[in-house]
Amino acid sequence: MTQERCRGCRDLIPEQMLKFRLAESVFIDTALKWGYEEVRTPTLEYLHLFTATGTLTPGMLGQVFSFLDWDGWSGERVVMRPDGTIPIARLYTDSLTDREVARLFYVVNTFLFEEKPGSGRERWQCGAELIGGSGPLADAELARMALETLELLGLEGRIKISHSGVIQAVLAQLEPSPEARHKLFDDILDGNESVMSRLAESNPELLAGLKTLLGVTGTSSNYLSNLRSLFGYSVELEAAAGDFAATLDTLDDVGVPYEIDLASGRGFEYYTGVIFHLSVNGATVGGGGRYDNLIALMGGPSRAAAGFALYLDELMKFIDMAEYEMEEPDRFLVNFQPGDEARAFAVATDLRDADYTAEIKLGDPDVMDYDWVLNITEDGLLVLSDTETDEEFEFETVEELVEMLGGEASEE
Amino acid sequence: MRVALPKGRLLSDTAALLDRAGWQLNDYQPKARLYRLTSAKFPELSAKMLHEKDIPIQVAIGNYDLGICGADWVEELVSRYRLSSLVKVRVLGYGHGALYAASAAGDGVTSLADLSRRADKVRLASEYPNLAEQLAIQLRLKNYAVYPLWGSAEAYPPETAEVVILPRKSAGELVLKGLKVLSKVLDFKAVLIANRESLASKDLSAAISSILANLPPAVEFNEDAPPKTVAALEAYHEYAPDVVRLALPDGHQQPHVRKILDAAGIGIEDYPSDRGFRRPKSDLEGFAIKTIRPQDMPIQVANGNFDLAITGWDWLTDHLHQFPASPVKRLLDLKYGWVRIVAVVANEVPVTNAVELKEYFRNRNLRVASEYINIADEYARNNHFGRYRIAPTWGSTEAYLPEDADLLIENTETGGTIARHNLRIIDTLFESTACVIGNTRAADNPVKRKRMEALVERLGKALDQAK
Repeated sequence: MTQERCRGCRDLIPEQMLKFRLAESVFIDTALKWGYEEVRTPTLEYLHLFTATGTLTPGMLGQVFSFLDWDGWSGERVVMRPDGTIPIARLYTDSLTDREVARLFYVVNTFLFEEKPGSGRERWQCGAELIGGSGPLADAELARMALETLELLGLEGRIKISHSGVIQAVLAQLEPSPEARHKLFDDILDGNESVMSRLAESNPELLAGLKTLLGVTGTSSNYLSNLRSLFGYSVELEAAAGDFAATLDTLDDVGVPYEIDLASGRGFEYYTGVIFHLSVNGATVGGGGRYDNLIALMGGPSRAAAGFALYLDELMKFIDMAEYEMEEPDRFLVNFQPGDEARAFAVATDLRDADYTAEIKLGDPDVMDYDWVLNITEDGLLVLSDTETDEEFEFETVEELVEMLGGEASEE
Repeated sequence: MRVALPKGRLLSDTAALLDRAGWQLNDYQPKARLYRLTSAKFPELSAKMLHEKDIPIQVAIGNYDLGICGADWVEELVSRYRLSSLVKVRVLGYGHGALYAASAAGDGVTSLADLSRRADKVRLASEYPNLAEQLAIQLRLKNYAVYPLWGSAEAYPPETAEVVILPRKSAGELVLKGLKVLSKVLDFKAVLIANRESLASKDLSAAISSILANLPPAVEFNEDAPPKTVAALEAYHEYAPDVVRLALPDGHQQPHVRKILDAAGIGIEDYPSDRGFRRPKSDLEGFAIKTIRPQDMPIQVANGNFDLAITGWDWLTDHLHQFPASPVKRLLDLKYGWVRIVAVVANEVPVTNAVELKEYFRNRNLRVASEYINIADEYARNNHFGRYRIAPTWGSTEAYLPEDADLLIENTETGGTIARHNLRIIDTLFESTACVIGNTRAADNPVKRKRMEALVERLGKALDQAK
């Protein structure tokens, strides 16, 4: 009888795990080279961490795995981390506020009830947060680093860029309440009929402009000039567009290609400035943005901050292991007579010390899965056979064997 | 075809509707002794009377094809669980009510927006915990706790909850209880619901059309304007920290408790209250008393809303199974209200104990129904049952066997009800009586502690003398 796996959760079998580790290690190497330091936050957090800052949408809060804590009689609820950034902001506020600039990265799983069948409940992400780095330069660093990670994985990543402040300023002309604007924006993007017809009646010109804007993507800051012409002047829009333009100019300067796409800012309430959307072959593989208010909302000092996350589960779909030359050490199967277990263990240990992979024979393995079979004879000799050629060599010690193989653990 | 019909509030209107629809049900009336109903018009139909609150979940999990209940209980379920298996077929036009979010008059909260601005914890108490949570999320409350209740929500503000969400016919009813309506959360009527799978594959048309063809004419419900002025409730939180907050049970236990208080020479007014008031006055110095549901007491004592309470050992046990580190203890056995907590199966299930039950259901999903979900869970775990599911019920649990559950964890006094429903007890988990429970941490204040000890001692002596 097979046991059912929990709905919305996946196993990673060895081949998948190789892809996972590859993507993860490329990200970790990249982050370390950019001067980022690894941190880890707990899987369980108090629910109020995510409600107090008002940074998760009601829709998202409705999807969290939450339950009563051990002392739940006090009404205390805990959640399984639904998001990577908010816990990092907490960690910074708890322990690292003495750093004016903190470059942090992490690899964690996040948990949300699936929105639709097939979308997972547990999602792994590689994230980087640049806390204390202000404005365009920090935005450019994160965008560059994200793209570089994708490049190193052999993937052609594209960045769409939007801006929370610009969206807010445009929608402000339709909706006075900042909270209601988030929902309005999502409704417009979803093409919600009743909302669209209401707006078409009350603000036909504005809606037409908005549709144009959401339907057209730009590739330079000229786009922003067009924005102004479509929506007229407002102090809020002017400031936001100025901020957006500064980041776009910096991205141009440091050679980060991008596409301006305001519609890519869905779920934007988390962010206060630019919003990145990362894709490979049209599929979303990551996202990020600027969240300048979050640290202060948590009771920390006022610190500008921005970050991004790459979605490992999505990245793995694009990784073809055949493209990677994996340098794997030779594999030995150590075969022995009953009673010779101690010697077999010692021999296997010596082989591992010489950087080979050594397995003690269990059951009836297929020898063709190994490069070498090493038989320990009754009189203690080591007989090595090449599984490809069936050639045999005799040794008294592992040292002799290693010397014969040239001390090279790996096949070139 | 299986249909779940409501007991209680909606029974008479639903019975009248089905009567007009010509169902000719054998015994669908308030005092019915059996829960299974048959219809002379639809021989294929089997119906059951269930607690309204249980009907949406039972239809959603596929035990029933159709159900009738208040839309409030449907919303309570779907607001938390996106139940694609539940379809709202039609609002039936009777059984009007509304859910209100309310706080105590004179507590300084004037609107829901006031709550959104608060940084300290907002406590929401309700029989509708999922809707309460949804409200908290929509209001973007910064820090909140939701306390699920079995009932009597109006007793909680302002001392034990800032906000309650509770059903009433009109806002005026709440104002008369000393509450202030902050907003209407939901308007609801009775609703016909169906299981999606049944709707897709079974022919339910005759039953559905007979209901829809006989709906009562829609009644416009005009709510009276609520009375303007109302006296604020006398609030506990104005009492000093050495005041003992005592919870007494409401409902059918009141005469028992009253007898014990009388025997101990404790004078108490307005308990039981024929006006439905929940703040009895007593001659105990340094005590403030409220009446709430016994099922809700352990958690309310644990979280410090009350220091002492009178409830059943069964409810305390259920609480302690959920929260083993809880600071609530039994201080005195009051030796009335004796029941056994038992494991029950249908007569045709050939098992005599838990071990045999486990074997009998090996590799099958064991469906457990109980009001005591944590006791049931513990029992299933300790007996190493394989895959099991616990469906919470709100009364009439014996109606669930054998069609909708395989095992009940139930309380019984004589076993009569169980036998009458063709069921059999296979295990006794423990015996339960009423008891005084207390919060061990409340004893930090020496004056309060003395008062608590003195009361427990008085009650104990009265019991000894009564022997």
